[in-house]
Amino acid sequence: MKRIDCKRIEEILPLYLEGSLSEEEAREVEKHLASCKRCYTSYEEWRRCFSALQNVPRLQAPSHIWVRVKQELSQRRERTISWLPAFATLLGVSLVILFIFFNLYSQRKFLPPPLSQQPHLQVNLPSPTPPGIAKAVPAVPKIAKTIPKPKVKKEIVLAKRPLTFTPSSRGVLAPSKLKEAIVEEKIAERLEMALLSAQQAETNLERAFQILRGRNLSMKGGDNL
Amino acid sequence: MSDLNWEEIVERAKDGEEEAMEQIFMNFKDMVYNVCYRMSGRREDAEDWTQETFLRAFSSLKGFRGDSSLATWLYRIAVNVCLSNLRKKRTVSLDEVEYKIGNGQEEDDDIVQQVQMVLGQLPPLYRTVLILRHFEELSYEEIAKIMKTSVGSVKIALHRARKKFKEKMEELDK
Repeated sequence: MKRIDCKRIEEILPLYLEGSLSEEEAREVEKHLASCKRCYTSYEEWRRCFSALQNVPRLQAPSHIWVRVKQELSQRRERTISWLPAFATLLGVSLVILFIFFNLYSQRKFLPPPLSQQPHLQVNLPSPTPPGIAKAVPAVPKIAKTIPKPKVKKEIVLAKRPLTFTPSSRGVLAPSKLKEAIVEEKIAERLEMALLSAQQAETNLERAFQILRGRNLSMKGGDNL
Repeated sequence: MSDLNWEEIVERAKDGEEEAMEQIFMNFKDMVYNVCYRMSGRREDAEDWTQETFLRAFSSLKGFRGDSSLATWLYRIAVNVCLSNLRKKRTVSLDEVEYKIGNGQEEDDDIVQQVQMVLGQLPPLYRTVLILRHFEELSYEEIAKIMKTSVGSVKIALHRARKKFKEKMEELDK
């Protein structure tokens, strides 16, 4: 091994003192220290530092720290628990509102277009007819082939009309007419259902808004929705 | 570390079992407290920082996967808590009363008092490596894991820290 110079010794003295040099390196350092007074002085200084660091005692942590840790942990737990009902209420109300909007949206999507866009539906629908004059009431039929998919607003108008056929009137209709009349009756039923759903959704929405306005976020309010 | 089944204790603590948390605390409190005390030089700060270390540890225990030992993980949290508190104190000292790290006045022994005083004059990073190596007697590898750096960087930092420590000790003697 190459002979170590003073500069190198100064660099590796801490490693020598902590015992992390190889045996060969340690022997070289010892040889050098024995012959170099300046480096030996430096070694003494380093040794003093190391021994000072080694003399630092280990302390015992006061046991009351655990009491503080425990208290803080339970306070944090309580804080989390106190947030839960408010969070659950908020989540519940949000879900209800989302549900209402989704309902409204899906009903719009599947309801028929506005009445103004369906002139054929504005044709006078047949009123209940006595059995005897059934053949003289051909008005309805031709609508059937082009009946479009239903949409909301016109049903309101249509629903008020007596779209239903009495069994007696059906009985005297010709089979093809009867089929068309049934289709029409089904449309009317669907429109009535859509109207009811829209009204229900509107009521729900109003209630939700009332609750939000009154900032009543209690679970009871959410349930009432 | 004793022969306790730490995996099981950690799992129980993860489930929020207070007894398991207490076991962890009791086993590592001195280790954490000593690091905090040597970093701050004040018993009061050491208590606060020890408390903060364990609170942080318990709240993030679910993230402990056991890649390193529980001791290494706690050392890392303790060092982070100490460094961030020292940073805060330094920021506060700009416009308030200057924060001085404990200068050893709480020590009974003169030499220990001197060591604590010198430690307080070193940059926090140098102080950290000296404490971990000389007081906690950790290997370079363990220190590298705690400080999330390479062994080479630890060696360099430790070498500089020792040189600085020696200089300051000599200054005190003059």
